[in-house]
Amino acid sequence: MAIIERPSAAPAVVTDDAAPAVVTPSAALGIFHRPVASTGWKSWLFTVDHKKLGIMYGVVAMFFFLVGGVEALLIRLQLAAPDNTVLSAGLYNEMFTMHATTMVFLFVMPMAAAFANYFLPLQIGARDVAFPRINAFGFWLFLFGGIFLNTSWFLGGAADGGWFMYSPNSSALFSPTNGVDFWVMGLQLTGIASLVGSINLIVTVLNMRAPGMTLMRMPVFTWMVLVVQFLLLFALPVITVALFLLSFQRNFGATFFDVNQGADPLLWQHLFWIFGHPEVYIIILPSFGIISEVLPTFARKPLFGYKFVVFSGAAIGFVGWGVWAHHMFASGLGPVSVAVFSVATMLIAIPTGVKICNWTLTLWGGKLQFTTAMMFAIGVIVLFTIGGVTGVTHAVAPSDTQQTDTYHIVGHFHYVIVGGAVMGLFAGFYFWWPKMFGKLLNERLGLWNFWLMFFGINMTFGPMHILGLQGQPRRMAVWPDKLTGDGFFDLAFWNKIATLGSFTIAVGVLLFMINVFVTARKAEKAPLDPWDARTLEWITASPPKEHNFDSIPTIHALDEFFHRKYEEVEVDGQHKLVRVRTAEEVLAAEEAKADAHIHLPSPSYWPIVLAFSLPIMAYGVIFNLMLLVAGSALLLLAMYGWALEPSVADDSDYDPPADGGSTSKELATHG
Amino acid sequence: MFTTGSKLFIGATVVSLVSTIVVGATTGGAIGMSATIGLITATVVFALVAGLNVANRDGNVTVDTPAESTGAADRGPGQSMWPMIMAVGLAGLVVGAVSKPVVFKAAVVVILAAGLEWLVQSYTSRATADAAYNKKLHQRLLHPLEFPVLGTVVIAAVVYPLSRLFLAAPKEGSLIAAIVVSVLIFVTITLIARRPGLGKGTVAGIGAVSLLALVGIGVASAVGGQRHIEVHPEITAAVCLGEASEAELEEIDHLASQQVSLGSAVAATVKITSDDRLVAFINGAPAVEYHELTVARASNVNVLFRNESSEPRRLTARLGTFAAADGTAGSENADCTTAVDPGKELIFTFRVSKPALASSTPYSLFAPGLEGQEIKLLVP
Amino acid sequence: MDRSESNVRTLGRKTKQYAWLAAGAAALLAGCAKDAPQDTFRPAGPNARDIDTVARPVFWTALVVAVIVVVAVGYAMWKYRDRGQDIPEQTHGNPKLEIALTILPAIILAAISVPTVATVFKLDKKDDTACIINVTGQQWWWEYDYPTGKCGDVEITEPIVTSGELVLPIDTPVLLRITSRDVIHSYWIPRLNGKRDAVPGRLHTLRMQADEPGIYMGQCTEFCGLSHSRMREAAISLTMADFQTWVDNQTAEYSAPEAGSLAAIGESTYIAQCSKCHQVNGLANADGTPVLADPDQYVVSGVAPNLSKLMTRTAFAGWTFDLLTEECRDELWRAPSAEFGALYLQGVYMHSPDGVATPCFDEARLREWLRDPTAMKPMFADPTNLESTGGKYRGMPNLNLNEDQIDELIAYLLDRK
Repeated sequence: MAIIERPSAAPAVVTDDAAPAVVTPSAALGIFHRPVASTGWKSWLFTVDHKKLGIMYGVVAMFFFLVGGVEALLIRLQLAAPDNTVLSAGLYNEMFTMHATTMVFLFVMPMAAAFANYFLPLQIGARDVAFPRINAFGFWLFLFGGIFLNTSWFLGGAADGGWFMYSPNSSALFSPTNGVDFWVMGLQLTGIASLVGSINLIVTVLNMRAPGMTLMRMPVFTWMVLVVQFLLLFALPVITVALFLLSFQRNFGATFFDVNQGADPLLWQHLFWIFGHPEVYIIILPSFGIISEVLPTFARKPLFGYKFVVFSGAAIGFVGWGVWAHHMFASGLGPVSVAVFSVATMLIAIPTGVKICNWTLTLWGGKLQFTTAMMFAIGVIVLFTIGGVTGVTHAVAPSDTQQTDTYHIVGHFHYVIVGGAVMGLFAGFYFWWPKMFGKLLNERLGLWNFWLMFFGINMTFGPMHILGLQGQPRRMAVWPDKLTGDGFFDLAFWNKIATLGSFTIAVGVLLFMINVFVTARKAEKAPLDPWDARTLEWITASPPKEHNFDSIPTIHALDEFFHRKYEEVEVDGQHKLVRVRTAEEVLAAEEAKADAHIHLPSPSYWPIVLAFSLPIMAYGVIFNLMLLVAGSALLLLAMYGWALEPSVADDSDYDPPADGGSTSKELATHG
Repeated sequence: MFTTGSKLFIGATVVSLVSTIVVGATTGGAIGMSATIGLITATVVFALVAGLNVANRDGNVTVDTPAESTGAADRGPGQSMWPMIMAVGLAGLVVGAVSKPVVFKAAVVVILAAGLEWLVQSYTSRATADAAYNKKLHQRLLHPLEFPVLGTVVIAAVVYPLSRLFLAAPKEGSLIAAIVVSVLIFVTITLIARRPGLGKGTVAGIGAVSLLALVGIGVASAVGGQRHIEVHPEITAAVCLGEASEAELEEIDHLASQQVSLGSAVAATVKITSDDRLVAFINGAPAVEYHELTVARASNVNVLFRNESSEPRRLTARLGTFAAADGTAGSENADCTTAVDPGKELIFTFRVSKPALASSTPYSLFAPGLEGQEIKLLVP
Repeated sequence: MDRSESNVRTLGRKTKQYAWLAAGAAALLAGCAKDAPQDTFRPAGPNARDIDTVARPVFWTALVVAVIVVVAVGYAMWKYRDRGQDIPEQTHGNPKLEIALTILPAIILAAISVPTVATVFKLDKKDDTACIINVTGQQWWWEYDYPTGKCGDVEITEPIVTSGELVLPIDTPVLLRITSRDVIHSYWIPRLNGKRDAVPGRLHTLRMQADEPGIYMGQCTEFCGLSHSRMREAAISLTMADFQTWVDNQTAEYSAPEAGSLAAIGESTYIAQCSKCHQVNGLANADGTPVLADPDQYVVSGVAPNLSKLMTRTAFAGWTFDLLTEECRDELWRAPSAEFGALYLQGVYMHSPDGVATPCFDEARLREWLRDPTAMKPMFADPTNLESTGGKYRGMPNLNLNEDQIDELIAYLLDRK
């Protein structure tokens, strides 16, 4: 599906009227107009523009971040004191299940997808992704899937089996509400969304790079996103199969995990963790990519060991498949399996260590500017290192049998996920905000935001290491007074500190929200190149035009933009980098050779309709098979509608260019 | 308002609707019922396609000027394969009428499909004067229908014959057949992949010939009928306690699985030694021979049964005798494995629901035919 | 130089105290609780000690690595802050350094992996087993049964079934054979060994051995549903002589209450109200037939705790609620190992001068439990909502006993010693 067409046979008709800046559809032959609106709610609902979709991904993921955050705060409130009664046992179980599910599937993954969607085409010099309508479909399906999953709170209770949903506790016998069904179908929906997204981005990276953009000139963020998409592509089918087995067991009487029929419940654990472990890298690698962009920019020197960082990312992606059973050291696998997986798990620390060394060495000898984005990126190095080394302590299998399912593990993976992934995403917010919205986030608020989150994370998850090592198991609705031990620094003390810390993080996130609000209201525009950035996404307007680049840039080097701005000159026998062009000049040079005809994929009704039919079917599986039939009918209709519709609306749908210099889609952007 | 393509399908909708009414009103019996259902389906499908065409303006092909204004008859008719396929269908109809109903039904499907294609082709071939546009229109109208249907047909044409073949061939034969077919596919595809210059026609020809061969094999296998597949009788207490007839035992044990998937994490390994003693080794104290096993009640107990004697043996668990609800004495419960050949092993899962005190007969493990050898089951 | 760049630099100057970064992690390591009962760094037996031996150096290594990275980052932040120096040379790395930095962690990890693998196999050793105890998990309590045969020096003549507290002789390699009746649970006594999951249909083994008499607390650590947090356990280690006493008591004949006493009324109340699920060994109907519990008819897991010797334990209901008063419990927990066994064997009759008065028995808690168990411990026991389980309970339902019945039952249960 080519998205950019330059028809040679059909020259655009130039009209005399130079004025109209609004695109109007041509006289419609059918009853429906093809949606071509470039402003208003319709332009968002039916858009296939990767940037609009990226922003919507971000907004929705942020919303679910708040939902998952409130769940986390409730959990911490419950655990602040022994035998607490903020939440009932049943509600607590639902809460930690949904906290994990929401944060993993509805916040971190889609927020990474937001950045990937927005910046991956920009970083490789493409005008959109390879399959724009599938991209839109992926977003809407994620949104509807997320809403579907959370409606379970109001329809009999959410899932209560933990995000790992171990069988047989997840069977209808032991979890009789519809919560697990919602969880299963909800993850299927968001899984489809991620899967189509991954194929889309893989094809985009492999096929749509600008001239000169070899794989080894791609920005590290794009590289890490590419690795993540491959992980998704292979990991999601596994969980899909597992979820199907579970839903057939719960809804249609199958017996895949029924011990009385000869099943072995460990089957579920293997399936889940073969997906679940790569999922860890799916969560963390985009953030690695982001900070690999941020650190060089503010250190004013290229990423140290670009190739090593790229290959260690790919190595993590490969080795990540061979370590799943380290989640099961206490499951009774037998000593041989345990020993093998223990050693394999240690192996994965090597490429991870390489990355940390490279980031540190990127700072070495630089000219460091401590912007908020930079602080968040450095925060990632520090916090992820702590999460990483505690990870090695449970790669040691005997040691892990003491630590697994205790708060030590909770502390460990929150350092990795919050300290690594979430801090990285925040670095991305501050770094790319001016690119996405044309305005700089307030740096003073930003630094407050950073320090509150940084201290909050250490206050919340640091004590958890102690709690776990001193014997507090996780997933306990209440912990008994008997557990606390003696002394001032007893477990009750550390539990209170952790709860305080979680609220500190919450205040930090609140400051981010305030910052966004303040920034949106401020009139001042950001400069074109506020950070003296290095990569391709900055060689265009802020925010970028709908077609991204007036002319597709030709790439000559890694950090292309930097090398267009700076050149090495010899001064007094010494090589010195001197700025030869401003960002505005670079952009002006690109705009001067703008392509004449830029055909972009056109908006479409069908992605949202198709995405909408699937949750209806999912409700049908849970409540009434007639709904399933209705959903399938809508699904069929949307699929045929989609198949009949060409990807690019005809020229006649748009007004022709007003003058020779600008293109039809530029009008669409500013109209 | 109405696009070129949609007019065709709206017309078709109307025709099939009218036919539905006429057929429904005039024809009775089974034939009338199927014909009516078929026509209703056709009406719905045509209406759906018509609606989509209206909604999408024929897939948005530029039609600035109505088709009527172009010289539709400027061009002579192009080539078409549909008359021939229609003829094949008609021939099939005749053949089917005198031979088998399935041929007749297939012919009807072929005629309907060919008719639809012919209709659309003849319509689009003279829709406008622009041949390229006409071709595009044709594709836009038919591809969304053709691709899914053809895909399904091709998959069915592979799956169905293969399944017939596997069912008809003897057990080992079907295994070999599966290997041969997959190797053939792999080799063919590799060869084709190594010759990128190969013509489209050649590849299509190879594909078509293989598919035809496959269908031929499938039909032959289906006609030949499937091999005899035995249904194993249930294992009953009578079988386990050695009270069933020789014939029944023979039937149960014939071709029974002798394979183990769960080798570890079992409660005990029960062994018939080469000198015909029944002993148990428990997971945890591997060197000690046990003649009593303590078993938790209400829990599935997995035992690995290994037969090292020279006779095929089964392992039976006596699972107690309980008074029935009406107070009468019940019969003894038992569960057992199928007979395990010498040198083989099998997992045996049984479950004791009540403590030993509740049963009027003792719990134990024994091998029927092996006198005096027994492992007591203690169920507290 | 554009305006924004100078903005950035002033910001950089304002936040110079980067040494702070290291503070957070280091401060957290400062204080730990003393005598936390589930502390994983206080091994009380050889298995836990083996784990401790391999884990401790790893923790130190991890700490050193983390400190090195944090210090390096902090130093770089201070040394290379923007002081208006030239834009640095655009170096793309140093392959030799990179390779060295790849090999270094590989060496460290190789060094860690050797003792790791050795310990994995050491912990799986079974050839010196001197005692086997079956451990079975169900929602939400643990059942232990002691098979007949030798356990250390003690000969067990008939199977013992108990729950909550695992009693084992000291200095004896005990092998637990762990399985489950419903969902997956995990058995964990941190001071004696790591965790082992109890998986239905599978039987896993776990070695246990204690150095000294004492009580070691534990908790089910695989999420097992509604009352997972109230599925606790303990291990009690006794000297061989004390263990012999314990075994003798467990296998002792049923002691029928004195005719006409409150406990005797309690016996009939027990038979009417409790005996459908809870077994008391040796209890007989008026006609002399044994009273046999039939929990497989009423409970999903098919079992309920055996109450024959309830008062020899220190807690009930998944070892969640104490039978001992606060003071007596503390005394038992803090007892020197030489005195521990004697105290423990008295059960709730601790400090009872005549063997009748029970100053250490916390009656209020058991009373509250009998009034409504589901109020104290959430269970799936609402009789109106049992479709998913085919009418069976998961846990103990509210029996709607009146206060008189509760008095009678407590009197009867106090005799189960």
